[in-house]
Amino acid sequence: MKKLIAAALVSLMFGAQAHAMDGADLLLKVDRNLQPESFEMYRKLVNIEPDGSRKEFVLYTVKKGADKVAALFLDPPSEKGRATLRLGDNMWLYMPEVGKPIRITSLQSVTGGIFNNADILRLDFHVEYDVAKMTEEADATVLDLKAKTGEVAYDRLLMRVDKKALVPTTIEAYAASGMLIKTLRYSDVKDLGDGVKRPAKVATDSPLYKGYVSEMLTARVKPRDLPDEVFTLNALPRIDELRK
Amino acid sequence: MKRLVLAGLAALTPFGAAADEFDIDKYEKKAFTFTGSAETKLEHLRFDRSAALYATSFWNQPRKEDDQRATETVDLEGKYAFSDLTLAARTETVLRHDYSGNSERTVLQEGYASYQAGTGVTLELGKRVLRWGKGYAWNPIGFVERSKDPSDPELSREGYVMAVADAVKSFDGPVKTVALTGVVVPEDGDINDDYGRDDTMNLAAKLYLLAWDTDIDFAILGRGSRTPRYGIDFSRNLASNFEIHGEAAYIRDNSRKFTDSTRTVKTATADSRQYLLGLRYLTESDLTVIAEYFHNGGGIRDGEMAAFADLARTGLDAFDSTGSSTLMQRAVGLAESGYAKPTPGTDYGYIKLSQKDAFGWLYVTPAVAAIANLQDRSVQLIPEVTYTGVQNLDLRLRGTFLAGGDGDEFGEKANRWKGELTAKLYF
Repeated sequence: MKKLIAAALVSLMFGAQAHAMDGADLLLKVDRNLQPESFEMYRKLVNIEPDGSRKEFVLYTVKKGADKVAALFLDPPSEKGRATLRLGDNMWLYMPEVGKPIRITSLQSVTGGIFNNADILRLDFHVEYDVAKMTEEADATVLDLKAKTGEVAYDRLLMRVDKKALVPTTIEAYAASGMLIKTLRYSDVKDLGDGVKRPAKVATDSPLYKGYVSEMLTARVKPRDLPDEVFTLNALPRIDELRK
Repeated sequence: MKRLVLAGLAALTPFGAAADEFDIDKYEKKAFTFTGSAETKLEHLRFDRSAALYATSFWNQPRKEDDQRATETVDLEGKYAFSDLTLAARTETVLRHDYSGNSERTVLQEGYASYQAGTGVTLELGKRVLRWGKGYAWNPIGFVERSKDPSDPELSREGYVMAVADAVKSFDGPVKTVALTGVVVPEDGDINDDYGRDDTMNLAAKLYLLAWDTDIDFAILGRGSRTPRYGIDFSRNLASNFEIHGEAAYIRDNSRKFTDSTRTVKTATADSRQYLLGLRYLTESDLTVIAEYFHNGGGIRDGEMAAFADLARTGLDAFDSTGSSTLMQRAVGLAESGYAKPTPGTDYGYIKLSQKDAFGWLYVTPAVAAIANLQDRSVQLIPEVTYTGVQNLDLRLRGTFLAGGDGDEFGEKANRWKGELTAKLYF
């Protein structure tokens, strides 16, 4: 009984916390609960076909501040050494066999599958989106997010935020035409290495690819402050040298 | 059957674990890394026996209508990292079997030492691939690299021996990055012997800016093995699915060999301009469009390909009837000077359409590329389909078809069409 009361109090407390925040504050909190502002981490991307066959990619990722992200492919061998860089709305892909970075766009995908470059090199949501509307439900707050510019990959996001953990449970991504492009589902909340509980898994499906699923698993998140020069085209072929 | 094959391949790769398992310990950084690939390519070639470049290729050899070629290519790459020093090497071994028999060739594509001298400062020494320019099919400012083949622009190419110093600095504000690269390319007849004139030290530099969300490069090559040249390029995303780019180069004292009705080889030397404008566009249905226009002011002029073809055909007739190789030698010399190279003309259009995950099948990408000589209106068409759905295996089925009349660029190529099947396994 005591546990029940305590749980109810905690729930009320966090619920009140979510209520007390306006949409922008809540989005900022969600961002920090998903990942630190500057960090390094490892991720595995898994593309699963309807027959169960899979294609997997392992990436080492570094991020700094609001708009700098770089990722290096560690696996599979066919992709090893490829690296991507994002500076705000600018994105590049470096392929060792091509020997120079080429500009890519956020709607392309360096891995194939349902995750596109904007998902793989994601900036904080509050950097790219404004909260257009906030709706309260029993166990979730729904944020209706509108892209700040036409450069952003998805025109609108419908983000369902867990009132207790203040992390997303689902995000629906829409094109400017109103078409649902994909749904992202966050799960497996746990300590990823920096003492903060965050979702370790994001799964996505799309009505455009019926039966296909892509998953992103995160591990070993560590706050890390790197020089700005790491996030340049010249340094892109040498991202591996950051790993310790 | 597909499941059986996939299960077998999964057993061969380290991806047998459940999707939700992520053992990152096996991705710990190692001092020495080794990767590679093995590629098998089977080709069928149909020759155009009346073409000028068929004559310059086969005039003193058995003349065939068709050929089959099998090529095995093994690429090996090793890297050793110790503190701020990295040693890297990449080799390519090619085994080929065709009408002329078997051949084998191993080339060091890259082999260099890289030293991180400080934040944003890197020094490199050795054989290095250095690619400059933003164009997809052509790079007018590729001053220190081997030229690209527009029919397969992503093909890996051999580097040159060079010393490179690179410094980069980031800023807040509209100019986000400034980087300066200095390059020294020696040429002494043994080292970089195909770069240009012998016994010369070549100096080049490039200044890169990321300013107002636009990549901008200024490049220069001093007088040396090649004539002096100056270049500029840019690239910018106009939207989340739309990129534009351009390049321009000014080449001093560009020389061009040609022939005319006298069937003698002449040389014209003049400053020339090259420029390129292009775009990359992704539709909502994942169709990628790459389009470029390329002008080469130092290229073959209208009518010069026809004069070359006349020389080659007359030379072949003379060789066959009298055994005289004088005209044929001239034609071969001209072919080697540029006529046999990809896109030696003046004005070109390039377009490539590729549909990702066609028909709703992940990893199946059909594509078609077309290269058109805008002066003589001859065309090279390259349809292909690639499949990358099996881990570490790429499959590509590709065709090349040439259309053009006598005296037109693509009408005078040695091939009429070519089909190829490639399987590349990464390890």
